[in-house]
Amino acid sequence: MSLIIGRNVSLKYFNSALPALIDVNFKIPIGRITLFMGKSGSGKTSLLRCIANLVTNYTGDIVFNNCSIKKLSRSVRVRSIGFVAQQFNLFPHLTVLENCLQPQQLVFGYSRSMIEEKTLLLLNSLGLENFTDRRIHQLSGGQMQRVAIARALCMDAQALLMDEPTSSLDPESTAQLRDILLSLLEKGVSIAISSHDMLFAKSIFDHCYFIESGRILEESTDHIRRYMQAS
Amino acid sequence: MIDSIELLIFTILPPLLKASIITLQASIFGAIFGSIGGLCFGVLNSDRIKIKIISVLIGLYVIIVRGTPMFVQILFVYFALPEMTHVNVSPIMAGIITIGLNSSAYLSEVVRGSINSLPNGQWESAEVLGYTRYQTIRHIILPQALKNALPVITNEFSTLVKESSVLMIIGVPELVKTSRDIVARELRPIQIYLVTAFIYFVITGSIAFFTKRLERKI
Repeated sequence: MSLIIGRNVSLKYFNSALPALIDVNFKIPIGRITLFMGKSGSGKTSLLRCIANLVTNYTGDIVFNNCSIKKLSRSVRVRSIGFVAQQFNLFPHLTVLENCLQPQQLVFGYSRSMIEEKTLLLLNSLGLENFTDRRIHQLSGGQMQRVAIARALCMDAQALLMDEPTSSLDPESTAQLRDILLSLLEKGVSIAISSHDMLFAKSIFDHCYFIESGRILEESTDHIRRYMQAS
Repeated sequence: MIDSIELLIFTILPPLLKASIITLQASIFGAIFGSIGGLCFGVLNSDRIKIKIISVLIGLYVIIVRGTPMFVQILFVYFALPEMTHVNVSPIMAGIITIGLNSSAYLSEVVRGSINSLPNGQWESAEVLGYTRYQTIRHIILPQALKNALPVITNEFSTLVKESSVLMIIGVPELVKTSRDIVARELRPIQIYLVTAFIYFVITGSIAFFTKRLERKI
């Protein structure tokens, strides 16, 4: 069963001659890791940004639980989809804990006492228990990424979108990330990843799309595996 | 020597210290007025917020204020504005308004530049997390933008204190006017202007000291 479905999604940026996405159809199944693979500039990030509703001028439709993402209210959308950007985009003027608490307080109106314990538990589960009072610039790339994941999960997102999650990670952090993503699957979180990291992709995905020049070329696990082996 | 010390303690310092309070009053209230204006204009004129017509008006205001001397602006506010509006203002109030208008134009550019320099990712993160536009500006953008702009903003405050000397032209008894009056009476320009300069130095030095501490704290 699919949590997010894209139908004929096409996108052209106003300052670009070529379209970023052309008639893209995809499904992100519940409780699985969906991978969007392709070279740089193939349209992976654009697709994730459309799903996250950061880009809205696309044609076609993206639906979450049978409701168009564009029509979801702000609070429902936040609870539906979390997005971890390639650069993580954490708030540098806040501590790790505040990065996770502030969105819940402002968006859902929770008091700090209501959510602090739950948030600390989540940070602990991601191995961040010793970093809760640190500012973002005091963290490593892998730690920043875990904070970004925690921040998205604090909002109870059912689907987690990750753009090039391994691009700034060392092999050890990449292995940690894989374990975290697998543990999230057990909790029922659906995950969609854009990546061109073959090794990481090979170790984690169970549903894959290969994108080139804004088109989905294949939705075949075997094909991708062959592609990986050839590379 | 004793004469000089007596002159300094009993004749020069008391009126100059009193005048320095007026200088500080005009600067502080002007800075508050300017900060509020600069913050609002800077936010409204930043790339992600701006509405064309408002942006054009703010741009025009900034060009006019930055393109004319404060000397002319204060004469306009004190002499021309009351004629146009039929509302009279006291010299000190005219001074505060002028300093405020002048400073808001400069600060709006500082705030605008600082907001525009923040990565788009900060806006996008807030959007993805469900922040409203107001929450994004209030809790994410302004804390970072103001922190980055703090050295320039505090430098602007020091400049304001020094520029407040133009208030003498409309008769505000601030530091420079008072010192000039004492010089006219006592005929001791070296001592009096040195003391005046020293008082300015202490005020701007204090601003620099406290802002350095503030920067470190933030």
